[in-house]
Amino acid sequence: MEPAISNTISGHLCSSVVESGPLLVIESLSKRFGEVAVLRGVTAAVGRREITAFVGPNGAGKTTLFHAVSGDIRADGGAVVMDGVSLENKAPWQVARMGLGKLFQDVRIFPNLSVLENTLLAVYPARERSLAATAMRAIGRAGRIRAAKERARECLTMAGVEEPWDRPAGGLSFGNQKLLGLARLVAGDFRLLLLDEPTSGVSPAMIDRIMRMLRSLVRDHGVSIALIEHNFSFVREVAEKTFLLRGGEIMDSGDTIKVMDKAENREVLIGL
Amino acid sequence: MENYLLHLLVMLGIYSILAYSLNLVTGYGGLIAFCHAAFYGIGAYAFTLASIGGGHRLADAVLVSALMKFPGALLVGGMVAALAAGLIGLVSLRLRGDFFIFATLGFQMIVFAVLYNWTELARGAFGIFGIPRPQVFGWQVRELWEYVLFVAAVNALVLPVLFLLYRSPFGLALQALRDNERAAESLGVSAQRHHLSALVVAGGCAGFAGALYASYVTYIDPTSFGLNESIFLVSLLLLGGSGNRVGPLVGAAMMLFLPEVLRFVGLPTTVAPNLREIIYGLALIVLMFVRPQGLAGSYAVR
Repeated sequence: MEPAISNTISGHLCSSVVESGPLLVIESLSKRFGEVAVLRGVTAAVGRREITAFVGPNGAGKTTLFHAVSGDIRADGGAVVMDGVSLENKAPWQVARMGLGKLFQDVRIFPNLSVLENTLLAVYPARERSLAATAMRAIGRAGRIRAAKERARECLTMAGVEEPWDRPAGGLSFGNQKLLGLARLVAGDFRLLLLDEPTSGVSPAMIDRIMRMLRSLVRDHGVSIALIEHNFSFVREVAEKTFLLRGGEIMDSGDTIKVMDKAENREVLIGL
Repeated sequence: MENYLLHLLVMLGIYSILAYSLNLVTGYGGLIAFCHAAFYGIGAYAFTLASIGGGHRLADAVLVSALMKFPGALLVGGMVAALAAGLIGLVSLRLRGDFFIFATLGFQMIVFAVLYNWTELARGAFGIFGIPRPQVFGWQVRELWEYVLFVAAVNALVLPVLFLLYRSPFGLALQALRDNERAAESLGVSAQRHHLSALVVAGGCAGFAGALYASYVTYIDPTSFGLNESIFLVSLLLLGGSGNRVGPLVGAAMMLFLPEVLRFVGLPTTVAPNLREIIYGLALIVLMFVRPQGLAGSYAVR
């Protein structure tokens, strides 16, 4: 079924999104898989230059929500608007070109490419990756590639991906693959990042590095971040706002500490 | 014996263009396409009809620029094949995985059936005789050794372009799509556009190879461009390896020279051809177990 966005909703969202408003607005998003309603009218927002967390038990619909925003799955109804532009019917690559980058739960690196090439791909602007650009810009190519490689190395250093970087990325540990995934997002100069469990399967030292990196992206580069996490101490440390999902619905939202400290929310999250 | 070796070198030159162009789609783009021989055939026929005309009213009407000189006809061969690849790609790239493979098989069969049955244009099973040897800048290529030089010169023009693409940001995007399409799209790479571009380039190169073949053997008929030939080309990449600049040449050399080596082993002529096929089949099966990326490849085609 096509997403049903009414003119009223779209108009309201578009007009309400100004530079000072939220970067991403999700309005009444719904999605069913057969008989199962995974998202039931989710409404949420991701603020500019801040970190917003989406927490909830397994099966709450968090990953499906991110997939619907990034265009990986098509919502049945509702609207997603980024910076005043509707993401309705946009393919994932179009959403990415609008400035939305995504870290998949299972990372999805390119195993046969080297660590450096994984990052290099994100450094090249979309127009430089086309066949036409390759044909027209053959001259002076060496200089551009050198500069792009330099930028890729900077991103890998920032993310702290283990060297050597000329080996196939498939040989990296899962933790380092996560860091590589983050390095790719830094290299892609995205305005908004959707991170699906950035700390799962990584060592405490790496979690600390990821925390510093995300803060630096927000503070120094003006990036906005939405993340899904089961590591609640990490969420308390980094996220300004939190949305609690349960059964495909937003159960609570607001200031992270307040949401996490509510007794009924703690019961949903950790069974206490 | 000397002529025989020169003939093999000419064929190696033609097949290296076919192998390296298929490598862009399969080794770099990760798409297994069983229609490369169709582009090869379309190039050969387009070149032939542009060179000598169809000899029929329909063919003459279709080919506005019939009776072109060699360079023009070669260009027509490449461009018509690239156009066909673009059209086939537009339809088949809506499908993924096994469905894409079956779509390319279907197109291969359609192209063969058209060439075989459209006698008005392509003279069907009778084929077309009397295709002229190349004449470029006053050089009439007649002798076998001259043809070796000529094919080498065309290789020297075509292969560096393909190598440039392999190493370009475009080639990197293709490899990313091959490794994980969804992850590549999440970085802004359009699978549809990149795969289509790769198919068009590969189709154009196969068209050039078809033109070279037609002008070399001076006779073409549809049986040279059937499904068996497409399977042969994919097998060649599986055997030699893909995803780099060495595998396709190793594959082409193996597939062209191995039968000739076996020919000299002294097998009875009644069993030799069948035995060759069995050896090929066995070699492919063993390779899939022990070295799925092929003899010199860097990527295991799946």
